[in-house]
Amino acid sequence: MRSLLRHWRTTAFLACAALCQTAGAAQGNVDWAAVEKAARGQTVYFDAWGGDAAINRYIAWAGDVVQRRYGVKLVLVKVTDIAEAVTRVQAEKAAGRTTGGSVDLMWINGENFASLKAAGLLYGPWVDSLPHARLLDASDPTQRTDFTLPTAGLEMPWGGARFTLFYDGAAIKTSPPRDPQALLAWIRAHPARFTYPQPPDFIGTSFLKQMLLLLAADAARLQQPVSSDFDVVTQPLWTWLDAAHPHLWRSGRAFPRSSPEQRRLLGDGEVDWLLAFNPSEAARAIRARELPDSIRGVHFAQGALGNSHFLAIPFNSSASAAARVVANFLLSPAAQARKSDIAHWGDPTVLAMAALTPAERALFGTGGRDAASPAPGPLLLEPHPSWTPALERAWSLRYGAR
Amino acid sequence: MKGLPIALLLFVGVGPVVAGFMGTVLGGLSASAWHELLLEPGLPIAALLAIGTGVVSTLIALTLAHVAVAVAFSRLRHTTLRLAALPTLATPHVAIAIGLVLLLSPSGLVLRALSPWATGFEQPPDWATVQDSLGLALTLGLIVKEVPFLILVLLGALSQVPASRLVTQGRVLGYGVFKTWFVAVAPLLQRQARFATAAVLVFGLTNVEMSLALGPTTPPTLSLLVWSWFTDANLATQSKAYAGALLLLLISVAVVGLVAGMATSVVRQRWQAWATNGDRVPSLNLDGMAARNASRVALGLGGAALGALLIRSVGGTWRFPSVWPAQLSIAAWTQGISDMQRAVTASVTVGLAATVIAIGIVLAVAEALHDSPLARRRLAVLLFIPLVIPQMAFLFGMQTMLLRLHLDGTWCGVLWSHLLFVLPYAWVVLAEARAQLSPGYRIVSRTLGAGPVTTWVRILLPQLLRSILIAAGLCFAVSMALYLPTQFAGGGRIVTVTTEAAVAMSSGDLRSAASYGVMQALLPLAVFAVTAGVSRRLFTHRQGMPT
Repeated sequence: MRSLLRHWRTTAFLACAALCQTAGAAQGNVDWAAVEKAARGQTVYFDAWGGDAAINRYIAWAGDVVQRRYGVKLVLVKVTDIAEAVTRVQAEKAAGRTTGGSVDLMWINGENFASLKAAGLLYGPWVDSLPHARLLDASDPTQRTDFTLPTAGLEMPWGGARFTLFYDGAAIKTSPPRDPQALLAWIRAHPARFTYPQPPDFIGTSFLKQMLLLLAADAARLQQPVSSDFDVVTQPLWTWLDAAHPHLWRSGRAFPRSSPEQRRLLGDGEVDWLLAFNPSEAARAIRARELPDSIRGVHFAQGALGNSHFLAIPFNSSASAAARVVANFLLSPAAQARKSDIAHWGDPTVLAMAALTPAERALFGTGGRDAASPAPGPLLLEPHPSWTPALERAWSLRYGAR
Repeated sequence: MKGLPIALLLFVGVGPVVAGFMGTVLGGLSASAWHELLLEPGLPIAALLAIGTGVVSTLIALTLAHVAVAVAFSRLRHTTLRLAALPTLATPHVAIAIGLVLLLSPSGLVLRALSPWATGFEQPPDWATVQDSLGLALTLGLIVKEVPFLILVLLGALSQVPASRLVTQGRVLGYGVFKTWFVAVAPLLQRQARFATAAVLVFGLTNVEMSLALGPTTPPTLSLLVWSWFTDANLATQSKAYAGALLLLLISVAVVGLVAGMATSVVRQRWQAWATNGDRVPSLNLDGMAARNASRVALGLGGAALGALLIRSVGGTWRFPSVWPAQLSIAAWTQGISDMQRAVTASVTVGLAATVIAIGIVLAVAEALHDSPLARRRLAVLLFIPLVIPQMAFLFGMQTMLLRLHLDGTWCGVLWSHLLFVLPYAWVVLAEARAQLSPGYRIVSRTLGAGPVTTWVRILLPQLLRSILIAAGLCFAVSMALYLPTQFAGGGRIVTVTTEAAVAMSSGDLRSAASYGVMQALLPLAVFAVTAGVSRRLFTHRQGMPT
């Protein structure tokens, strides 16, 4: 356990530095002006989870800018789960369509990246050839490995994420629970006021992983692929869930389908908690009048499950030049600053502040924290991607059919 | 020459279904896939849920629709009933489902209106009033949505049944209004409406969009399980999904077969015994019947769901138990305006194109087959296949077909997928209407020297115009509501108001979902209003035109 409790700013720097060098050397020098020239006039179909109006508006803004500046048309294809786009790329491969694919850019991470990478369905490596790639925060271990798998320049870090619990400060006036046992005690004392999105929802599965990282006897084991010891390793998680479920919202017989649905439940007053991957989620939602201003955020004291989310280009995209131009723009200090602004999206940046000029740093505001977002704390790395389907299946066997 | 429109109709309306179905069968015929499927936790419960909600909702909706039509007939209030049914009929399933959630959930409008003064609740109670594990909310939602559809189908069938004569005869023989109607008229009406009833039943068994909002989650209905497998990135799960789609098909065929079998054996015997037992119970009065109020409630709930959508789409933070949002905000409307425009444009263009093409093809075929009832019946069976087998059983295969034709993600691909579902409705309204026209008009016209085209345009078309307008409204509403076909053929690139509503709904963004839901209802209502207005203008001063 101890080995995982390192402060994330100082983690794994050496391992990353080694990877950077090899990847950079492999990609050589790309003539970026030629890429921008080839991109002009192309249309980029960008498949992304479309369930949040604020994110959709941010992408629409980026679309306006790249149209004006680079002559690239950006079309957001909203999906309810990015796995739909992964399925489509697989279907196109099966149908023999090696060019003219329907997806040009996709927002992924974790097991979706793993399955595309394993099947050789990704374009690249391309990331290190982007002019803005040098601004990436090389000290962030979640940027070079995605759920323990090396990204190998096949996907570009777009934003950071820390698993965050939000609670209603009007209902919980004392200091909130910050470890599994305290949370369980709170749940028992307040029946029907806690819940989590139903796995395999992304946030729901992440909650399982976060709890498992906190509860497992040897959390380092989760960095290796799943094997026959799955039941032993995960037993503490099921014990915790068995104890909590009878006291959850709807007695654990129904769950919200997604984090935004739980946000609505919190906003209407049906529950007191919201789980999300974006630490600024509540701050943005309060501004947008989706949540009351009594909402506060908290991380588990031992550490928050953290990862980055990425952009990747499928192997059969006919607009890979324009897709790279869009990606490079999304990595620019101006685009990243707007993304981290809670007036727009509030998603943490992937850029290293030290790599920016003072003027660029100023775009990110004063850095003052709003009342609804938790202070940054220790980082817990994502388990190996094979744990995701295994946990989802085990959850559905235990709780999915009652 | 006659064969050309028929061939076109079969190619457009049946071809993709066959191709798609073959694709699904090939994908699902693997022992390991079925093994995986049968090992799925909760599969029996998921299947029972689908069957239970589908069958119960169809039976109740059918009963309520018959009662409503009987009452309207006895009081000559067809038009009122048709108008009352329109808002819910025009509103697609997704929107009705979202509206019902906003109305009935523990933090919904109903409990807000009663809290805390009557209930004492300061916080929403932990009641499973939606997504309950028995699927009651889902059943209610299906009833609310299907009653208006069945009412319109039955009202449409009235013209093909000598209802007035039968009712008069029954009354003369001393039977009450209720018994006369259900013994003499209802069975004839039901015979006309049997395809529509089967379509309602299969939709109830296999729908995704209503169970998404109202159905239970642990486990969900079988159709939702299959849908989630199809969208799984894991290839092994995909073949399980094909097997699941085939299982869904088997269940649908079995249930429809069973219900049809019961209707022609047990139910028919009981009905005949009731008809011939000579009882003339005057106390069975239509006015006092609970069912009549129930059908009013069903129609009213549809309207209330629409109202709830409208309020939520402009509501900001909204804590329980306030009946009204703390702030009003038109952000959901204004901020998404460009997305909304894109979606509305796609919905309207696809809907209008599908309507015009479907009516054109069907009119040509109806003309060719107006004196061959057997051929019409056979064609109707073929055309109804997309409605009476689960959409998922052929849509996945059809997606592959469109992929190979390079039509996936195109406007044309979506249009084609919509035609599959629009054509049968156009056929139901227009083929019979054409066949019912008295042959004398045509014969006289031809005898007087008019050519076939002139005869059709000057003599037959005016008589068909009212039916054409009804078909246009119906076709547009059907196209507007299609979710799965749009999602598959459009691949997310062609975005309609309905797919936007579903994306917003499935991610829990109720404000955006509500704004799209309102638009979903408004567009078909506008088309209905236009067709009704045109119809009134054209026929005000003409008596005896076919209705």
